[in-house]
Amino acid sequence: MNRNLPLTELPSQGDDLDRLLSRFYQSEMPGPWPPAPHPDAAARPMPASRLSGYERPRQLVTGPRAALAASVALLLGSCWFLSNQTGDVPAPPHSGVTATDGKATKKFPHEIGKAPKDGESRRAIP
Amino acid sequence: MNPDPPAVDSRRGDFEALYERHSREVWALAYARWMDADLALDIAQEAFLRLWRQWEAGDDIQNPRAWLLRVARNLAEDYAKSAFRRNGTHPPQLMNGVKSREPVPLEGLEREETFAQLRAMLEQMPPSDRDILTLRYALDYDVTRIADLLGINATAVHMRLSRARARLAERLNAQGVKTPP
Repeated sequence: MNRNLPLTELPSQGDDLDRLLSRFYQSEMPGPWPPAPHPDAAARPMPASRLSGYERPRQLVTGPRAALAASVALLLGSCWFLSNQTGDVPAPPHSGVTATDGKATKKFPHEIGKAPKDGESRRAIP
Repeated sequence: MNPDPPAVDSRRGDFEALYERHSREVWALAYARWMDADLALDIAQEAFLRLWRQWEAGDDIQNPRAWLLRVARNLAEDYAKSAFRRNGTHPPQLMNGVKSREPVPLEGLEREETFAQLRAMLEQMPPSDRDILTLRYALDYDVTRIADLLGINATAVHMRLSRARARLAERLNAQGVKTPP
């Protein structure tokens, strides 16, 4: 086992791999290295970056929830208001029905059992 | 809490010195988590800005390096849960397909292809192994320094590094990947 073996003494067949890994990682390093972020930026909201998600989850969660709660409240309020309104609404004119007793008071000529008036013909039922 | 925080100028100097000393380490650990250089840079910068905010709030951070590394790790983990990652625009491999109008030399193409294969293999490795590989090859750290940074003993670092290298070499050979010139 290569316990405590310095990295420089790793088996030689790894030299190519070492070179490949060094080149790969060096190519990934930002260059030139960016300067330190200005602390004033700490007081400002973060720029639109992929990290913005860290600051926003609470907003993203509470915004839609508040809108949903307001919508449901509005819907329930509307239902309650309309249901109260319908009890006081008088029946439409000439309907023959009053809102108080629900009984028809007006009779119509085409009611069953009533003979047709003059000039009206009744079709014979085969 | 620090009742008498240093003056702003002095603090700014300390901040820049800390950044110069540790920002690459912070970047390396964030990079090892996601294999995304730009995201790692965002995380490193955000970690330093949070450090500054802590200072401004009067908090006395005894070990800024450990604090920064912990915050960077947390940010990297939070990113996994963020909406952007779940509903992001394009995965990095798609963005790699964006090419310049200029003709690319054959050598560069071979290198890009090799790197893409290597990246895919690294992405399949455990993040703890990637931590060590990144510190070793991106920052050129030796075993002792890696062990110190990760808080593990040097033997463990050496073993994990050897194992990771052996695994990579095996996979690269199996795929016939040649080391680019």
